[in-house]
Amino acid sequence: MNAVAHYTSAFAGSENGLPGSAVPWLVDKRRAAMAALASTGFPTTRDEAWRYTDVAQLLTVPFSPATSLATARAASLAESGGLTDAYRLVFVDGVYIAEASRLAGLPDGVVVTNLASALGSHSDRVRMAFGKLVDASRHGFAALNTAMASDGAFIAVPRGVRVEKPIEILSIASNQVQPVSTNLRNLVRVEANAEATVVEHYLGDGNAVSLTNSVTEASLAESACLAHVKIQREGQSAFHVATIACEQARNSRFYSCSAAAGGALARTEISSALLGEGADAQLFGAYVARGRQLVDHTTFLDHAVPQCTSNELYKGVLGDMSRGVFNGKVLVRKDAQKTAAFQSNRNVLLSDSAVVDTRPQLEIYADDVKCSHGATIGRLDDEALFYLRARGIERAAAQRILTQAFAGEVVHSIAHPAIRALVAGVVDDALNRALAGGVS
Amino acid sequence: MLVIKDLHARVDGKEILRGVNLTVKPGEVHAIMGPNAAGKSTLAKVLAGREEYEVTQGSVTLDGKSLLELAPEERAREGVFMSFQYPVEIPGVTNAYFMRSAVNAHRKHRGEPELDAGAFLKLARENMKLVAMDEKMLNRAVNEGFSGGERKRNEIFQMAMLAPKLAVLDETDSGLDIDALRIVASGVNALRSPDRALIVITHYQRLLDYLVPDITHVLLGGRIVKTAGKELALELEKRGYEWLQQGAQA
Ligand SMILES: Nc1ncnc2c1ncn2[C@@H]1O[C@H](COP(=O)(O)OP(=O)(O)OP(=O)(O)O)[C@@H](O)[C@H]1O
Ligand SMILES: [Mg+2]
Repeated sequence: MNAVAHYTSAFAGSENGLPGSAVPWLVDKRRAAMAALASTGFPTTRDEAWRYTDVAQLLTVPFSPATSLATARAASLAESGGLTDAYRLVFVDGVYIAEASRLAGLPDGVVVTNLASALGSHSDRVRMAFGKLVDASRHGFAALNTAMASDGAFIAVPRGVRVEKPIEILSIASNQVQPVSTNLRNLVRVEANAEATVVEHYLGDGNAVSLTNSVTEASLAESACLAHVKIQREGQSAFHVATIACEQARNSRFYSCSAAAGGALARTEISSALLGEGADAQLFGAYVARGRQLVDHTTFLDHAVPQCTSNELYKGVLGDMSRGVFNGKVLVRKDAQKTAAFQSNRNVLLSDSAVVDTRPQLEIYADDVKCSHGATIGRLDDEALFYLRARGIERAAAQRILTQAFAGEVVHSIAHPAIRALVAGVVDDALNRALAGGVS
Repeated sequence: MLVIKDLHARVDGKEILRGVNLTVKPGEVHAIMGPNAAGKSTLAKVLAGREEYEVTQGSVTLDGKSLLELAPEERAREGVFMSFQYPVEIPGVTNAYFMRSAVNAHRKHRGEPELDAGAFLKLARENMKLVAMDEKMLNRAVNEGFSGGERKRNEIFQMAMLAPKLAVLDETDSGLDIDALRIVASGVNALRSPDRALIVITHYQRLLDYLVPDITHVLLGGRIVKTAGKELALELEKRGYEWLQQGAQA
């Protein structure tokens, strides 16, 4: 059975059990998404945006939603792996685990809940947000998520409120025998002058074959500020596709950092539409791969109005036979004068067999803009390595110091100390494992 | 202490060292002079273990132990220190983190416990005084944006931290202003001891006024063509190297 047929029948079988099965607009939306998937299918390497990321293998696996859950284990994993001082929503294989979640003490008016509950308690707001920024037409995975979303986070920060503690969305792929798929749909709304930090944290409990296919839609009102950190450290056999889309009103600030360390194939798509003057988007990413891992970051910044700024820095360290992919597109529309947009993708290859495909693209239709982009692919600096060793530092330690320093530029961009420390740990672990494969 | 015998080394298929012989005893200061491209830095790097230079012949021993089979880090921990002519920038790695890693690698090698942050800082402060280096340099990335003179001070600071048996100083004087030269040279002098040897590579007599060599060599065309006392440097200052070229070709 091909993938589309498989998911069509999986959808038919599980539709009635999905949240909102009695909510007509959502039922319609899910069915339309399934129809879109049936007609367009999943992306292939013939699609520009997927040229270097072949999902054919992923599509041969008959993933289906989990049927049984180890919830007690989830609670302990959340405690050991998650942030200590954060609000938290925990999902295991796409199912919300209230017992492991932690929502006490939220500031007045701030809503942090799971999507299934929000469909009841905040139905209008969910309806407005769901599918506004990512719809089924984007690609097969977005369509699949729309049809099959089992739950997700619903976060709303009211005007002028600053949420000090991070809000963590912890998704755990448990070690199931059957290949399990997780389709989380996260909706974030930050009102005018409000501020929040959201962490999407993907953990794997073991090395089972799994598929995480998440979609996050974030909407920032005037002068709102959202820091979004994604940590992806699922097991070596996990497939991971994440689509994060943001829209920004006047003077809003969107900071995004993606740390990718796990998975057999992990793609993170991040986009923001800068719709109000003075909006600023800062996108950072650090990825580390080894073995036959493929890590893809695909970004799109849409400068639609004048005087917006954006900056991107993605850095990768690739060992063994791994592959890194970066597609970064910046569109500066005709009216978007005085745009300043900078983009950089830098890669260090640890082995002769590692590969990077990087494609920075600037598409500029305005004439008074400052834009630049660049990409580098290199080796660890021999001179620097020798300098460290000449002072008595072991070769492997010197390699670690240099790669940590390289990725550190991205890690240090994270403002929140506890999140920064967590990401630093994830990146350092991944670097150690990648370096253990040897440097050639 | 250091015995170099008939050392030949090549890089990129080109032979740079063509039979160097040199013996350095504990406590001695040897100056190596010679024209540009003579192979002085190559000799220093071969001693430190830079892998791109291929040793094709000869031997190097430190206290009877052969160095050539050792990795650069092993040589460093055996007590070989090279002050680089062109110290590299290492963005993202602070001087403090770098030196603490280095000092602790040496301590581990000697079976001593690692220094904690406090003990390290104390030691670092003492040694920075030696070369009048600003403490702020500890928190800056290694050599990043350092002036030429600051880099050279940083090299001697590292030497002080690592307390080597043998230090090879490759043009430590170049890039230093007159005052800095005096400060750095007196720092190096303070590090002299009866069981530590120095090889000072320089183009100028001035450094040798402060760091008075026991023996002066001229390296030319990949060989040591002349060895004499400290007065040789003065003679070279006056006469240049041309009068020695003949001997080199012979
Ligand atoms: N990595 C290398 N690749 C190619 N040639 C090299 C390399 N290193 C050194 N050489 C060559 O070897 C020769 C000796 O260089 P070296 O740096 O040892 O000279 P030096 O005596 O230190 O000169 P200076 O006084 O200018 O510092 C030069 O011709 C140089 O170009
Ligand atoms: Mg030189």
